[in-house]
Amino acid sequence: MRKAYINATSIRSICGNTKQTLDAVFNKKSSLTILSDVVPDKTICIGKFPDESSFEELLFDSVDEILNESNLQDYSNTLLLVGSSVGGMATTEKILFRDDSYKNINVDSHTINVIAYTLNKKYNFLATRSFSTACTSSANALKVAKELINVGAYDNVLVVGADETCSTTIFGFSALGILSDEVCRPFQNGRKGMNVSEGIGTLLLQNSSQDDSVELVGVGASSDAYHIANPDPTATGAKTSIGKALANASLNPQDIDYINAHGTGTMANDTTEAKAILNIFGDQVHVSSSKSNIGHTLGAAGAIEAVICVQSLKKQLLPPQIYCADNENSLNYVDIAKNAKIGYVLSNSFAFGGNNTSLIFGACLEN
Amino acid sequence: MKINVEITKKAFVHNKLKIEDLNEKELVQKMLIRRRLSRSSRILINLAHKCDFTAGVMVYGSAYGELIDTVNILEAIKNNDMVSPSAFQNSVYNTAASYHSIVHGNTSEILTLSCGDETSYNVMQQAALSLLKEDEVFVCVVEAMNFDGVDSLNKCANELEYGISFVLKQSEKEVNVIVQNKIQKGVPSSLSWMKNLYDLCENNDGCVVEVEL
Repeated sequence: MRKAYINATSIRSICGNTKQTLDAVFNKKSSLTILSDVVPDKTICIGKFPDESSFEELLFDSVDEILNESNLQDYSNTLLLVGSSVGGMATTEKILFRDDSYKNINVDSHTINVIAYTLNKKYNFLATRSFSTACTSSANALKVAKELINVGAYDNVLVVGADETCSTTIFGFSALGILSDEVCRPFQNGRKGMNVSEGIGTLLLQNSSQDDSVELVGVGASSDAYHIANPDPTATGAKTSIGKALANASLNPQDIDYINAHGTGTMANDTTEAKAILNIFGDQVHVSSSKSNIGHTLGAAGAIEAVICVQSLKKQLLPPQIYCADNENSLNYVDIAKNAKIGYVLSNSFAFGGNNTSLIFGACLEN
Repeated sequence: MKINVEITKKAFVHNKLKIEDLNEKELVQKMLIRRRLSRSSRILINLAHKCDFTAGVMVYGSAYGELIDTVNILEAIKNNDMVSPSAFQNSVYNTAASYHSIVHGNTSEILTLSCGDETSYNVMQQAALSLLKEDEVFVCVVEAMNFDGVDSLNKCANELEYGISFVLKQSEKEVNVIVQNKIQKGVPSSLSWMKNLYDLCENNDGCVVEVEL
């Protein structure tokens, strides 16, 4: 079986480019914004890209950065896997709200596939595929990337997780009553919900390692089979995806040094996820959520948080959580960035429909 | 890397406007769940029943996702009305596959792809990858596009509800069908590859096709 090495990464988030985003994450800074003029009669806290660049320009920037950082000359021998929850919804909304008609909407620009189509037009990939499983979309793309490299089907796979904030998600989460009016406080008592946000996470996986590679060592997925939007409160589905990832990596729970939690800040997610972590790992493993820094980037979250995990392994530095003074449970939250011996890290992603995906990254033993 | 895939079960439903008699009352006995099903969910649950599939790995595909609920949300925002929480919950692309898992208690891995005109072929590719570890995989592709206003967008005169499903297993047998992805009148392009395969296998129970990972 071939191993899957992560050889280049990039992020575009509400905090800025890769360097700016990682600086924000490791130094407890947030770029979420409190707004009172988006949803009628409601104050909400959400994430928006800085105004300088369009979503498409940021996509290209992110993919160009990978090309510059990697040993690739171009993407002609690279499979593109995209994970997105809403695809071209923001474009659809712009036209519909302007024209009050569907007539001028190009249906192909509305779909999830528009991201892969746009990238392929510019970079000419070997092939493309797009996954849309709500908030696990890009985590699932990473899982498939590893599996394809493991069996020798592809040498290079570029995973792009990308989602743009749109009215549908803002008003939708608001209708569910889980949109916070303040920066989210995952796993904290009295937390008020999540922050919808936008972002792009990009990772190049290859079948050969480089000097600073990180390995994607384990992947696991499951379904709750419980409710279309709420997680199973017994945490059975979450525990299953984590367990499968551990088995896939041939690791034991005590091998995991840090968990980048899905940690959205909603009552339901955090209580369930904490239950799963405590059940499998106990309360000693280091845990943090990056959602207070960059918000919940929906389908992009798995990829962006994978980049944070990769950096954590490379720097041997635990990413802190902005709020951890009033914890709801006994988990061992990282309150300040600190150096530690980090061998393996776990990243969780959970989604509508009870779709669960867990990824385990490891320091590359070949290096 | 290529895998020989055998189709062990198959099903197909379609209608120009709306598929009648999806048999929801019998297939989804809990009224609370049945009332909330999206159109794609109803179609998928019907197709899965026809393939005797209740539990195991599923790969689902749809180019346009849950258009009816999406339009419901967009119209509410446009008209300054309240967005329906149910419509929002049902608007994600993996809704149909998730409802099937809830109805049947299927805790296995489920993936949803949305790849434009390549959707149904990419679903088969993903299933072929899964078959390297699983004995059997259920694949299903659905488009449900019958929303108010679709006439202004449906320039290809596609039928508005369409679904195809297969149960697949890896096979040592020789390939006996080769799919030519012919455009078929009324068939959404996203489902075209699997519809062509379905046609080749309609009267052939031992249909084996080669799929490149």
